[in-house]
Amino acid sequence: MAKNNEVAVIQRGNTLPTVQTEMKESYVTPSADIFEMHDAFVVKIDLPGAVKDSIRVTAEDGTLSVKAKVEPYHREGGPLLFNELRTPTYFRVFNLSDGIDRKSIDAQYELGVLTLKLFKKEETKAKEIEIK
Amino acid sequence: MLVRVQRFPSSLFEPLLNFDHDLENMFKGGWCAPAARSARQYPALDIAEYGNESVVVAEMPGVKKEDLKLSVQDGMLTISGERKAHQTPENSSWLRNEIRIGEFERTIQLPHDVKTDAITAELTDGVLRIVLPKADEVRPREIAIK
Repeated sequence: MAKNNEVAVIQRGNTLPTVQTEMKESYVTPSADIFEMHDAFVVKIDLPGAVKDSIRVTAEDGTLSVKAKVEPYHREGGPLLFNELRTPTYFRVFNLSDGIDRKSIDAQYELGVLTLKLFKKEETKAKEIEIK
Repeated sequence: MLVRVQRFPSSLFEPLLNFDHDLENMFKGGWCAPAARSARQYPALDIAEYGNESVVVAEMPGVKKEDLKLSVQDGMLTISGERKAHQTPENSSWLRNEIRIGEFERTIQLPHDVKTDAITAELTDGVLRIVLPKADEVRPREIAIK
């Protein structure tokens, strides 16, 4: 696999596979939805084809980062007649507010979508104030 | 001939990098105009050809099996379906919404004659994989010399 700073050598008439291998090292920023609930934030991230074991969710220093790898979609030997997909490494970083309890983050991966549930700390939950 | 190509940060250069490949495929019949690629049809897909079959791979995260339909007719394959909105609980508010939902349909020309009865498809982790076995007439065959 070509490294980031390597120069790709491309043979005439056979450019595509080489370019693909080279692009594997570049990150793709996946699309995400975020919504807030009473007691938690929910983040949904599109990671189609990600290998479940490769998904890394890290919360540190006020950021939440998500990284995942995709296995190559094609076996070797077949030329691609049509090529729009890349087999990327997904990577995205979100800012994490202090109000989130880092120890209780739920993660679920289904249908190629990663769902993270970030629970709020007790003191940051919305509270109804009783009027005396 | 070897051509050295520097790694470009922008996808602007992608058509250039693929130019040789396009040129070659134009004569083999599998060519698609770069314009068609940049039009970003949904779902994005690849087609790979092997000896006895071709494989179509398409990315469609969040789409359930029951919301997806495949049909083959007159040498065309149609992938249609719907990505449904995920359920958000009441009293929740959106902070960011980038994921697109809704119905989609895409039709592609089959790369060769296909045994339509033997087509198989599976949807795993948001990736659809369709195996199109070649019809007997188009399979590579070794001819015995008498």
